[in-house]
Parts: sequence; C-alpha cells; structure tokens
Amino acid sequence: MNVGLLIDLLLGLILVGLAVQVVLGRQLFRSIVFYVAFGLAMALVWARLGAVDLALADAALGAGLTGALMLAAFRRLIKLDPAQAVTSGSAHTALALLIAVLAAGMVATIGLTAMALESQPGAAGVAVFEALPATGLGNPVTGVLLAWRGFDTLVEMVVLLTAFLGARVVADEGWAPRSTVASFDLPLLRTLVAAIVPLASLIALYLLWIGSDQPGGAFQAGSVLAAAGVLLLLTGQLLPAPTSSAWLRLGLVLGVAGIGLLVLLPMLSGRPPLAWLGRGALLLAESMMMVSIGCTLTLMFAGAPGLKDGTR
Amino acid sequence: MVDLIALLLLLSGCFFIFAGTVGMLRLPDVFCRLHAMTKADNLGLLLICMALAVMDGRLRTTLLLLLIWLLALLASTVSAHLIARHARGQSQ
Repeated sequence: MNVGLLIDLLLGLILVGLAVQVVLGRQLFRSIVFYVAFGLAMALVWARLGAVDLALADAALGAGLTGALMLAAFRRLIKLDPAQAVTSGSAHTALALLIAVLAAGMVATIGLTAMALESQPGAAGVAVFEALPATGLGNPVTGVLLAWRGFDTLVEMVVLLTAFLGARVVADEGWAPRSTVASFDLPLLRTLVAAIVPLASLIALYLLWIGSDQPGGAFQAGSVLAAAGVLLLLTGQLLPAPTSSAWLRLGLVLGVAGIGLLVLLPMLSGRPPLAWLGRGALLLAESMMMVSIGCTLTLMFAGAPGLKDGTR
Repeated sequence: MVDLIALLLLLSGCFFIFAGTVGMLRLPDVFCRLHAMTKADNLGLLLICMALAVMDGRLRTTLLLLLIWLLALLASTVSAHLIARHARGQSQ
C-alpha cells in the first residue's frame, strides 16, 4: 500500500468522521465548529484531487465565511432564545440524520455511476481543454465560468444578491449586533487589523489577477475581501448601520451588472465574448464581481442594511 | 543529504505538533491548553516550513513559507490572547 493511498484513506476517514460529528452533534455550537473543520478538511481533499480552485473556494467560503455567518447566526439565536445554547436537539438530530443518510446515498450513487463511465471523446471537459488555447486563458475553470457558461455565473451572482435581499427581509431591522470584542483598544488587535487587512486586499487582487491563468478568480478574491470585512466588523473598525450608502448599493449590484454585460453584450455582435471584448473585459467583469461578493458577504455577516466607519 | 535534513526537520516538526495536541487534550484548564497549543504548534509549523523550504531549495518558496509562518504566528498569538482574556473574564 503506497503512501498516497494511505493519505487519501486518512482524509476520507477524517471527512466522514467530521460529517458524522456535524450531524449527530448534541449541541448546535459543537456542530458549527465541526462544520468549519469539515470545510477545512474538504479543502485539503480538493487540493489532493488537484482541484485547487475548489480548494481555495472551500477554505475561504465553505470553512471561513460560512463558519463566521453560522457563528453570527448562533449568537443571534441564543440572544433570542438562550435555551438553544444548551439544548440537546435530539428531534433535530433525527431529522438531520435522515437527511444526511439520503444525501450520502445520493452522493454515493452519483460517484459510483461516474466511476463506471468511460471518458467520451466529445465530453464537455475534453472540449474545454481543446478550446482553451484559443481563448488565451490558462485556467480552464475561469474559461468555463466566464466564456462558455457565463449565464450560469450570471445566475449565481443573481442568487447571491437575492440571498442577501432575502436575509435583509428576514433579519430584524432594529437589531444591531454588538461587536464581540469588548474593547477595541487592545494593541494586539490593532496590529492584527493593520497587518491583515492590507494583506488580504493584496491577496484578493492577486487571486483576481492570477485567476485567468492559474487557480483563483472573482469568487475566491471576493471571499478574501469579505474575510477582511468580517475582521473589521469584529474589531469595531466597521459598524453595522441602519441605512446603506449609495456606494454600498452600487457595490452590491456591480457584480450582476458586470457579468450581465459580459454575457449579454456579445449577443448583440453574435461573437463569443473573448473574441470580441478580449481579456480586459473579463478582468473588469471579474473585478466587479469581486467587489459585489465582498460587499454582500460582509453585509450578511453584519446582519444590517449598511455599514459605517467605526473609527470616528 | 538534503533529504535527510528535510526528514529530520519534518519529524521534529511533527513531534512538536503532536506534543501540542497531546497538551491540548490532556492539560487541565484553558490557560495551560493555550500555552501548549500555541507554543508547540508555532515551533512545529516553523520546522515543517523549514523542511519544505529545504526540499524545494528556491528562494521564492522559502520567502513564501516564511510569510505563511509569520501570518500563522500573528493569527495564533492574537487568538490565544483573546481566548485567554475571555477565559479570565469568565473566571472572575
């Protein structure tokens, strides 16, 4: 038995073990923590499978931001109903177990079916790699997301915007979350923010820029930006505000506008977007999406319609 | 020779991370656990980063690994500090 197979088996066991802990967790908080760990393990698995784009997205979105959102929701939940913090939730667990078993069965069926299939010469994945050199892009994932399946990406951005609007409707508007850190004047915290926020912005821009040729892109870059936003919110540099500024609203819809133009404009000329608009247009659309993703996720974490500067 | 150095660094890194994990599982209270976890893990991560840098041998990789270690150091320092403050606030 070689070492690679051992690592794969170990990762698989860790993944299933963590998933069982998430589903059967007696306390909600434990389940959330295990879910974050599950996201990180999942990122390792994607990296091991060579899907670095997915690994980045899963580490930033699946583990980082989803975890932060769930913790924020948990904090809100125990504020509304303190009994939830210690509740055993066995009724929920029974339902979760049923859903988990069904989902696992579905994944196993799909996986076994996919493994039984032979690679077809005309399959979409093969076609992508054949057509990729003509686009000038080096990253097939970016090619699929923006050049060939742009409509899917447009719908994804609309889903993100709709999810935010839905969360706004559900959220109690009068409820303003307090920052978790009681005192913002800790020297260490200021150092952390001063070091991490510029670095996160740099990493986001790098991921955006490199996304055409290597793993990266608007979704990964946007989630890194949102992580910086969450840090600013947690340390009180940004505060939730009852109203949103015009700039913020612009930021929220920028992504839909960017990818929408990229997808719809070429229909006027009848030529594929890359042949007509070039790589600059892709980068512009991706930048707009990055800003939107960052704004949306930060606002979701804030649980408020807008943001204001907390330093003044 | 290079492989031997890398192997030694990797093994010692794994030892420190293992020790930190044992400390987190076995020690009695939050403060002891934080102490074991952050100290041992930072050293373990440094040793593993050094092993990877030795194996790769390029300056760019070495600097990137150093940056990763510094970021992990910063994150673990601040989070350990915040957890310790919170724990002290709860115990008083």
